[in-house]
Amino acid sequence: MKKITDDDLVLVYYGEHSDADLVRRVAEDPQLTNRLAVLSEQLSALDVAMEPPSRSSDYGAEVWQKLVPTLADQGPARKPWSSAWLKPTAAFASVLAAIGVAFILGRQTAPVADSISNPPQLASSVNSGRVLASYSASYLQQMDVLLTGLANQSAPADINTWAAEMLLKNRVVRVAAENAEQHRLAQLLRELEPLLIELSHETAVASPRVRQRLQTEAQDTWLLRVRVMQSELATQPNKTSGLSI
Amino acid sequence: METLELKLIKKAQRGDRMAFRQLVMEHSERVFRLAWRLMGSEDAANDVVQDSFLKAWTRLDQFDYRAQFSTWLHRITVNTAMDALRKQSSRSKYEAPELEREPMGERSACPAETADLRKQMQVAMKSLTEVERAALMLRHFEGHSIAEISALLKINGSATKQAIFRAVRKMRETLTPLTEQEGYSQ
Repeated sequence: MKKITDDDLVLVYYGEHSDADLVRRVAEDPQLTNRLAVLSEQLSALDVAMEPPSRSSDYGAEVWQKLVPTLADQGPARKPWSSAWLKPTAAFASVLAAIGVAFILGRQTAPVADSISNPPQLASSVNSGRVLASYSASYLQQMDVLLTGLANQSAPADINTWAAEMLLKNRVVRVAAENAEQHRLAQLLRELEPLLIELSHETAVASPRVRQRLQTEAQDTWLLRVRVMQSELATQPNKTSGLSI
Repeated sequence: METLELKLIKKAQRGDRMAFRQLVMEHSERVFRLAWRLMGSEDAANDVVQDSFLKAWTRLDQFDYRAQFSTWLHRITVNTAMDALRKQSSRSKYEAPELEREPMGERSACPAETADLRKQMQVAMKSLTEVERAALMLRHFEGHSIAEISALLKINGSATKQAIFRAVRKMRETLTPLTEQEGYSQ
Protein backbone atom coordinates (compact mmCIF):
# COMPACT_ATOMS: atom_id res chain seq x y z
CA MET A 1 0.00 0.00 0.00
CA LYS A 2 1.32 3.40 -0.98
CA LYS A 3 2.69 5.48 1.88
CA ILE A 4 0.78 8.72 2.22
CA THR A 5 3.15 11.66 2.33
CA ASP A 6 2.65 15.21 3.54
CA ASP A 7 2.57 16.26 -0.10
CA ASP A 8 -0.36 13.89 -0.64
CA LEU A 9 -2.13 15.51 2.29
CA VAL A 10 -1.53 18.96 0.84
CA LEU A 11 -3.28 17.83 -2.35
CA VAL A 12 -6.12 16.28 -0.34
CA TYR A 13 -6.50 19.47 1.69
CA TYR A 14 -6.81 21.56 -1.45
CA GLY A 15 -9.12 19.04 -3.13
CA GLU A 16 -6.55 18.33 -5.83
CA HIS A 17 -5.68 14.68 -5.30
CA SER A 18 -6.63 12.54 -8.26
CA ASP A 19 -6.29 9.22 -6.43
CA ALA A 20 -9.77 8.53 -5.08
CA ASP A 21 -8.66 5.51 -3.06
CA LEU A 22 -6.02 7.55 -1.32
CA VAL A 23 -8.52 10.27 -0.44
CA ARG A 24 -10.82 7.63 1.01
CA ARG A 25 -7.97 6.15 3.04
CA VAL A 26 -7.28 9.58 4.51
CA ALA A 27 -10.95 9.96 5.36
CA GLU A 28 -11.19 6.57 7.02
CA ASP A 29 -7.91 6.35 8.92
CA PRO A 30 -8.00 8.36 12.18
CA GLN A 31 -4.22 8.79 12.16
CA LEU A 32 -4.23 10.23 8.66
CA THR A 33 -7.27 12.35 9.44
CA ASN A 34 -5.39 13.71 12.40
CA ARG A 35 -2.36 14.54 10.25
CA LEU A 36 -4.69 16.33 7.87
CA ALA A 37 -6.22 18.28 10.75
CA VAL A 38 -2.75 19.43 11.87
CA LEU A 39 -1.92 20.52 8.34
CA SER A 40 -5.26 22.31 8.11
CA GLU A 41 -4.57 24.18 11.35
CA GLN A 42 -1.11 25.23 10.22
CA LEU A 43 -2.33 26.43 6.86
CA SER A 44 -5.07 28.36 8.61
CA ALA A 45 -2.35 30.26 10.43
CA LEU A 46 -1.38 31.57 7.03
CA ASP A 47 -4.69 33.41 6.95
CA VAL A 48 -3.76 35.42 10.01
CA ALA A 49 -0.22 36.12 8.92
CA MET A 50 -1.08 37.11 5.39
CA GLU A 51 -4.07 39.32 6.12
CA PRO A 52 -3.60 42.38 3.91
CA PRO A 53 -3.60 45.83 5.52
CA SER A 54 -6.98 47.48 5.61
CA ARG A 55 -7.88 50.18 3.13
CA SER A 56 -9.79 53.30 3.99
CA SER A 57 -13.33 53.69 2.75
CA ASP A 58 -11.93 56.22 0.26
CA TYR A 59 -9.53 53.75 -1.28
CA GLY A 60 -11.59 53.28 -4.44
CA ALA A 61 -11.74 57.05 -4.90
CA GLU A 62 -7.97 57.31 -4.39
CA VAL A 63 -7.34 54.67 -7.03
CA TRP A 64 -9.68 56.47 -9.39
CA GLN A 65 -8.01 59.85 -8.85
CA LYS A 66 -4.63 58.40 -9.78
CA LEU A 67 -6.13 56.57 -12.70
CA VAL A 68 -7.90 59.49 -14.32
CA PRO A 69 -4.81 61.17 -15.87
CA THR A 70 -3.72 57.92 -17.50
CA LEU A 71 -7.22 57.19 -18.80
CA ALA A 72 -7.16 60.50 -20.59
CA ASP A 73 -4.38 59.15 -22.78
CA GLN A 74 -5.96 55.81 -23.47
CA GLY A 75 -9.56 55.24 -24.40
CA PRO A 76 -11.18 51.86 -24.09
CA ALA A 77 -11.36 49.65 -27.14
CA ARG A 78 -15.04 50.03 -27.92
CA LYS A 79 -17.34 47.09 -27.76
CA PRO A 80 -19.71 46.94 -30.71
CA TRP A 81 -23.35 47.27 -29.71
CA SER A 82 -24.32 44.06 -31.46
CA SER A 83 -22.06 41.71 -29.55
CA ALA A 84 -23.00 43.22 -26.22
CA TRP A 85 -26.66 42.72 -27.04
CA LEU A 86 -26.44 39.21 -28.39
CA LYS A 87 -24.41 37.50 -25.72
CA PRO A 88 -26.34 36.13 -22.77
CA THR A 89 -24.95 36.72 -19.32
CA ALA A 90 -22.74 34.08 -17.82
CA ALA A 91 -25.25 33.49 -15.06
CA PHE A 92 -28.13 32.99 -17.46
CA ALA A 93 -26.15 30.61 -19.64
CA SER A 94 -25.00 28.52 -16.74
CA VAL A 95 -28.48 28.33 -15.26
CA LEU A 96 -29.73 27.02 -18.60
CA ALA A 97 -26.87 24.54 -18.61
CA ALA A 98 -27.71 23.48 -15.07
CA ILE A 99 -31.35 22.94 -15.98
CA GLY A 100 -30.29 21.00 -19.06
CA VAL A 101 -28.03 18.74 -17.09
CA ALA A 102 -30.99 17.65 -14.95
CA PHE A 103 -32.17 15.57 -17.88
CA ILE A 104 -28.80 14.04 -18.45
CA LEU A 105 -27.74 13.17 -14.95
CA GLY A 106 -28.54 9.61 -14.28
CA ARG A 107 -25.12 8.45 -13.42
CA GLN A 108 -24.38 6.23 -10.55
CA THR A 109 -22.71 8.07 -7.80
CA ALA A 110 -20.77 7.40 -4.69
CA PRO A 111 -20.61 7.90 -0.94
CA VAL A 112 -18.52 10.76 0.24
CA ALA A 113 -16.87 11.93 3.41
CA ASP A 114 -19.03 14.20 5.52
CA SER A 115 -16.37 16.70 6.38
CA ILE A 116 -12.63 16.75 6.65
CA SER A 117 -13.01 19.34 9.34
CA ASN A 118 -15.00 16.95 11.45
CA PRO A 119 -12.84 13.82 11.80
CA PRO A 120 -15.06 11.78 14.14
CA GLN A 121 -17.93 11.91 11.66
CA LEU A 122 -15.76 11.43 8.65
CA ALA A 123 -15.23 7.69 8.57
CA SER A 124 -18.74 6.85 9.60
CA SER A 125 -20.09 9.10 6.92
CA VAL A 126 -17.90 7.46 4.31
CA ASN A 127 -19.18 4.09 5.43
CA SER A 128 -22.78 5.17 5.57
CA GLY A 129 -23.36 4.36 1.94
CA ARG A 130 -25.18 7.57 1.18
CA VAL A 131 -24.96 8.41 -2.45
CA LEU A 132 -23.19 11.41 -3.82
CA ALA A 133 -26.40 12.88 -5.15
CA SER A 134 -28.16 12.95 -1.82
CA TYR A 135 -25.06 14.15 0.02
CA SER A 136 -24.49 16.86 -2.52
CA ALA A 137 -28.10 17.98 -2.28
CA SER A 138 -27.73 18.15 1.47
CA TYR A 139 -24.48 20.09 1.14
CA LEU A 140 -26.09 22.50 -1.30
CA GLN A 141 -28.92 22.98 1.16
CA GLN A 142 -26.37 24.16 3.72
CA MET A 143 -24.85 26.36 1.04
CA ASP A 144 -28.31 27.75 0.35
CA VAL A 145 -28.67 28.69 4.02
CA LEU A 146 -25.30 30.41 4.02
CA LEU A 147 -26.02 32.30 0.80
CA THR A 148 -29.46 33.31 1.99
CA GLY A 149 -27.94 34.68 5.18
CA LEU A 150 -25.40 36.55 3.13
CA ALA A 151 -27.98 37.89 0.70
CA ASN A 152 -30.26 39.02 3.50
CA GLN A 153 -27.37 40.34 5.56
CA SER A 154 -28.48 38.06 8.36
CA ALA A 155 -25.39 35.86 8.40
CA PRO A 156 -23.96 35.18 11.85
CA ALA A 157 -20.88 36.97 13.14
CA ASP A 158 -18.83 33.81 12.85
CA ILE A 159 -19.53 33.42 9.15
CA ASN A 160 -15.76 33.08 8.60
CA THR A 161 -15.64 29.86 10.62
CA TRP A 162 -18.77 28.59 8.98
CA ALA A 163 -17.40 29.34 5.53
CA ALA A 164 -14.11 27.61 6.39
CA GLU A 165 -16.00 24.44 7.27
CA MET A 166 -18.06 24.70 4.13
CA LEU A 167 -14.90 25.19 2.09
CA LEU A 168 -13.53 21.83 3.15
CA LYS A 169 -16.84 20.14 2.50
CA ASN A 170 -17.00 21.85 -0.85
CA ARG A 171 -13.63 20.38 -1.83
CA VAL A 172 -14.55 16.87 -0.73
CA VAL A 173 -17.84 16.92 -2.61
CA ARG A 174 -16.15 18.41 -5.67
CA VAL A 175 -13.55 15.63 -5.77
CA ALA A 176 -16.33 13.07 -5.40
CA ALA A 177 -18.33 14.74 -8.16
CA GLU A 178 -15.31 14.78 -10.45
CA ASN A 179 -14.70 11.11 -9.84
CA ALA A 180 -18.34 10.35 -10.51
CA GLU A 181 -18.05 12.43 -13.69
CA GLN A 182 -20.77 14.81 -12.56
CA HIS A 183 -19.09 17.64 -14.37
CA ARG A 184 -21.72 20.31 -13.87
CA LEU A 185 -21.89 19.77 -10.16
CA ALA A 186 -18.10 19.73 -9.98
CA GLN A 187 -17.96 22.95 -11.99
CA LEU A 188 -20.49 24.69 -9.75
CA LEU A 189 -18.53 23.67 -6.66
CA ARG A 190 -15.28 24.79 -8.26
CA GLU A 191 -16.82 28.18 -8.98
CA LEU A 192 -18.18 28.45 -5.45
CA GLU A 193 -14.76 27.85 -3.93
CA PRO A 194 -13.40 31.41 -4.36
CA LEU A 195 -16.49 32.81 -2.63
CA LEU A 196 -16.01 30.47 0.32
CA ILE A 197 -12.33 31.27 0.46
CA GLU A 198 -13.09 34.96 0.51
CA LEU A 199 -15.66 34.53 3.24
CA SER A 200 -13.39 32.33 5.32
CA HIS A 201 -10.16 34.25 4.89
CA GLU A 202 -11.12 37.83 4.68
CA THR A 203 -12.40 40.17 7.27
CA ALA A 204 -14.93 40.70 4.53
CA VAL A 205 -17.79 40.94 6.93
CA ALA A 206 -16.06 43.90 8.59
CA SER A 207 -15.95 45.92 5.38
CA PRO A 208 -19.32 47.35 4.33
CA ARG A 209 -18.21 47.66 0.72
CA VAL A 210 -17.02 44.06 0.45
CA ARG A 211 -20.05 42.84 2.33
CA GLN A 212 -22.28 44.68 -0.09
CA ARG A 213 -20.48 43.10 -3.04
CA LEU A 214 -20.76 39.62 -1.56
CA GLN A 215 -24.42 40.21 -0.83
CA THR A 216 -25.01 41.17 -4.45
CA GLU A 217 -23.05 38.15 -5.70
CA ALA A 218 -25.03 35.83 -3.46
CA GLN A 219 -28.32 37.33 -4.61
CA ASP A 220 -27.62 37.71 -8.31
CA THR A 221 -25.39 34.78 -9.06
CA TRP A 222 -25.18 32.00 -6.56
CA LEU A 223 -28.54 31.45 -4.93
CA LEU A 224 -30.37 30.53 -8.10
CA ARG A 225 -27.57 28.30 -9.36
CA VAL A 226 -27.30 26.47 -6.07
CA ARG A 227 -31.07 26.00 -5.83
CA VAL A 228 -31.38 24.68 -9.36
CA MET A 229 -28.62 22.16 -8.75
CA GLN A 230 -30.03 21.29 -5.34
CA SER A 231 -33.49 20.44 -6.61
CA GLU A 232 -31.97 18.59 -9.50
CA LEU A 233 -29.93 16.37 -7.22
CA ALA A 234 -32.78 15.89 -4.76
CA THR A 235 -34.94 14.41 -7.48
CA GLN A 236 -32.29 11.92 -8.61
CA PRO A 237 -32.99 8.36 -7.52
CA ASN A 238 -30.63 7.14 -4.82
CA LYS A 239 -28.13 4.77 -6.29
CA THR A 240 -24.96 3.22 -5.02
CA SER A 241 -22.04 2.08 -7.04
CA GLY A 242 -18.39 1.26 -7.02
CA LEU A 243 -17.49 4.83 -7.83
CA SER A 244 -16.08 6.55 -4.81
CA ILE A 245 -14.20 9.61 -3.74
CA MET B 1 -32.46 40.26 -15.23
CA GLU B 2 -29.49 42.48 -15.98
CA THR B 3 -27.51 43.37 -12.92
CA LEU B 4 -26.28 46.86 -12.17
CA GLU B 5 -22.73 45.67 -12.77
CA LEU B 6 -23.55 44.39 -16.24
CA LYS B 7 -25.11 47.73 -17.08
CA LEU B 8 -21.98 49.49 -15.86
CA ILE B 9 -19.73 47.23 -17.91
CA LYS B 10 -21.75 47.81 -21.06
CA LYS B 11 -21.65 51.57 -20.51
CA ALA B 12 -17.92 51.47 -19.81
CA GLN B 13 -17.36 49.46 -22.99
CA ARG B 14 -18.96 52.33 -24.86
CA GLY B 15 -16.51 54.74 -23.26
CA ASP B 16 -18.49 55.91 -20.24
CA ARG B 17 -15.85 56.83 -17.67
CA MET B 18 -18.28 57.35 -14.84
CA ALA B 19 -19.49 53.80 -15.29
CA PHE B 20 -15.89 52.58 -15.17
CA ARG B 21 -15.34 54.72 -12.08
CA GLN B 22 -18.12 52.80 -10.37
CA LEU B 23 -16.43 49.52 -11.26
CA VAL B 24 -13.12 50.80 -9.90
CA MET B 25 -14.78 51.88 -6.68
CA GLU B 26 -16.43 48.51 -6.35
CA HIS B 27 -13.43 46.30 -7.01
CA SER B 28 -10.41 48.29 -5.77
CA GLU B 29 -10.19 46.71 -2.37
CA ARG B 30 -10.42 43.18 -3.65
CA VAL B 31 -7.79 43.85 -6.31
CA PHE B 32 -5.53 45.38 -3.67
CA ARG B 33 -5.84 42.34 -1.42
CA LEU B 34 -4.83 40.03 -4.22
CA ALA B 35 -1.98 42.28 -5.30
CA TRP B 36 -0.69 42.65 -1.76
CA ARG B 37 -0.54 38.91 -1.24
CA LEU B 38 1.33 38.42 -4.47
CA MET B 39 3.67 41.38 -4.16
CA GLY B 40 4.22 41.57 -0.41
CA SER B 41 4.29 45.33 -0.03
CA GLU B 42 1.75 48.11 -0.08
CA ASP B 43 3.63 50.25 -2.56
CA ALA B 44 4.12 47.44 -5.03
CA ALA B 45 0.52 46.33 -4.55
CA ASN B 46 -0.79 49.85 -5.19
CA ASP B 47 1.21 49.98 -8.42
CA VAL B 48 -0.30 46.69 -9.51
CA VAL B 49 -3.79 47.98 -8.68
CA GLN B 50 -3.26 51.03 -10.88
CA ASP B 51 -1.78 49.03 -13.75
CA SER B 52 -4.51 46.43 -13.55
CA PHE B 53 -7.34 48.93 -13.80
CA LEU B 54 -5.60 50.70 -16.65
CA LYS B 55 -5.29 47.40 -18.52
CA ALA B 56 -8.91 46.59 -17.74
CA TRP B 57 -9.97 49.95 -19.24
CA THR B 58 -7.98 49.50 -22.41
CA ARG B 59 -9.10 45.87 -22.84
CA LEU B 60 -12.75 46.23 -21.92
CA ASP B 61 -13.75 45.16 -25.42
CA GLN B 62 -12.25 41.74 -24.66
CA PHE B 63 -14.61 41.17 -21.75
CA ASP B 64 -17.20 38.84 -23.26
CA TYR B 65 -19.52 38.13 -20.30
CA ARG B 66 -18.67 34.45 -20.18
CA ALA B 67 -16.98 34.97 -16.82
CA GLN B 68 -17.85 37.34 -14.03
CA PHE B 69 -16.22 40.75 -14.27
CA SER B 70 -14.43 40.09 -10.97
CA THR B 71 -12.93 36.89 -12.40
CA TRP B 72 -11.74 38.69 -15.51
CA LEU B 73 -10.26 41.50 -13.46
CA HIS B 74 -8.66 38.98 -11.15
CA ARG B 75 -6.84 37.37 -14.07
CA ILE B 76 -5.58 40.74 -15.25
CA THR B 77 -4.33 41.50 -11.74
CA VAL B 78 -2.50 38.18 -11.42
CA ASN B 79 -0.82 38.65 -14.78
CA THR B 80 0.13 42.21 -13.93
CA ALA B 81 1.56 41.13 -10.59
CA MET B 82 3.49 38.27 -12.14
CA ASP B 83 4.99 40.61 -14.72
CA ALA B 84 5.98 42.99 -11.93
CA LEU B 85 7.48 40.16 -9.91
CA ARG B 86 9.51 38.96 -12.85
CA LYS B 87 10.91 42.45 -13.31
CA GLN B 88 11.45 42.75 -9.58
CA SER B 89 13.22 39.41 -9.33
CA SER B 90 15.87 40.59 -11.70
CA ARG B 91 16.55 43.51 -9.37
CA SER B 92 16.01 42.28 -5.83
CA LYS B 93 14.45 39.66 -3.64
CA TYR B 94 10.85 39.64 -2.48
CA GLU B 95 9.91 42.45 -0.17
CA ALA B 96 8.32 40.83 2.82
CA PRO B 97 5.05 42.25 4.15
CA GLU B 98 5.39 45.30 6.33
CA LEU B 99 5.01 44.46 9.98
CA GLU B 100 4.78 47.89 11.46
CA ARG B 101 1.20 48.30 10.41
CA GLU B 102 -1.71 47.57 12.69
CA PRO B 103 -3.23 44.17 12.24
CA MET B 104 -6.87 44.29 11.26
CA GLY B 105 -10.09 42.43 11.72
CA GLU B 106 -11.45 39.99 14.21
CA ARG B 107 -8.45 37.76 14.04
CA SER B 108 -6.21 40.38 15.55
CA ALA B 109 -7.68 39.65 18.94
CA CYS B 110 -4.29 38.42 20.20
CA PRO B 111 -1.90 41.10 18.96
CA ALA B 112 1.22 39.57 20.47
CA GLU B 113 0.63 36.20 18.91
CA THR B 114 -0.35 37.74 15.62
CA ALA B 115 2.71 39.95 15.56
CA ASP B 116 4.89 36.96 16.34
CA LEU B 117 3.22 34.99 13.60
CA ARG B 118 3.67 37.81 11.13
CA LYS B 119 7.32 38.11 12.05
CA GLN B 120 7.89 34.41 11.52
CA MET B 121 5.98 34.59 8.29
CA GLN B 122 8.25 37.36 7.10
CA VAL B 123 11.17 35.00 7.56
CA ALA B 124 9.34 32.24 5.74
CA MET B 125 8.25 34.49 2.88
CA LYS B 126 11.81 35.56 2.30
CA SER B 127 12.76 31.96 1.76
CA LEU B 128 10.17 31.45 -0.99
CA THR B 129 10.84 32.03 -4.63
CA GLU B 130 8.37 34.20 -6.56
CA VAL B 131 6.84 31.13 -8.15
CA GLU B 132 6.49 29.30 -4.84
CA ARG B 133 4.84 32.27 -3.19
CA ALA B 134 2.53 33.00 -6.11
CA ALA B 135 1.51 29.34 -6.43
CA LEU B 136 0.72 29.09 -2.72
CA MET B 137 -1.15 32.40 -2.60
CA LEU B 138 -3.19 31.56 -5.69
CA ARG B 139 -4.09 28.11 -4.37
CA HIS B 140 -4.67 29.04 -0.74
CA PHE B 141 -6.27 32.46 -0.93
CA GLU B 142 -7.73 32.60 -4.41
CA GLY B 143 -8.85 29.01 -4.83
CA HIS B 144 -7.27 28.46 -8.22
CA SER B 145 -6.80 24.86 -9.31
CA ILE B 146 -3.35 23.51 -10.08
CA ALA B 147 -4.21 23.66 -13.77
CA GLU B 148 -5.26 27.31 -13.55
CA ILE B 149 -2.15 28.25 -11.61
CA SER B 150 0.00 26.47 -14.18
CA ALA B 151 -1.58 28.56 -16.90
CA LEU B 152 -1.22 31.78 -14.94
CA LEU B 153 2.41 31.15 -14.03
CA LYS B 154 3.24 29.62 -17.40
CA ILE B 155 4.73 26.48 -15.88
CA ASN B 156 3.59 22.86 -16.11
CA GLY B 157 1.32 21.14 -13.62
CA SER B 158 4.07 19.14 -12.00
CA ALA B 159 6.19 22.23 -11.44
CA THR B 160 3.17 23.99 -9.94
CA LYS B 161 2.56 21.14 -7.51
CA GLN B 162 6.21 21.06 -6.52
CA ALA B 163 6.18 24.83 -5.97
CA ILE B 164 3.18 24.49 -3.66
CA PHE B 165 4.74 21.56 -1.81
CA ARG B 166 7.98 23.46 -1.24
CA ALA B 167 6.12 26.57 -0.13
CA VAL B 168 3.96 24.61 2.31
CA ARG B 169 7.01 22.81 3.68
CA LYS B 170 8.77 26.11 4.31
CA MET B 171 5.66 27.59 5.89
CA ARG B 172 5.20 24.59 8.13
CA GLU B 173 8.81 24.63 9.23
CA THR B 174 8.30 28.21 10.30
CA LEU B 175 4.85 27.86 11.76
CA THR B 176 5.18 24.56 13.60
CA PRO B 177 6.95 25.96 16.68
CA LEU B 178 4.32 28.71 16.96
CA THR B 179 1.24 26.59 16.44
CA GLU B 180 2.50 24.03 18.93
CA GLN B 181 2.75 26.63 21.68
CA GLU B 182 0.11 26.05 24.29
CA GLY B 183 -2.75 28.45 24.10
CA TYR B 184 -2.15 29.42 20.52
CA SER B 185 -5.30 30.18 18.69
CA GLN B 186 -6.26 31.96 15.56
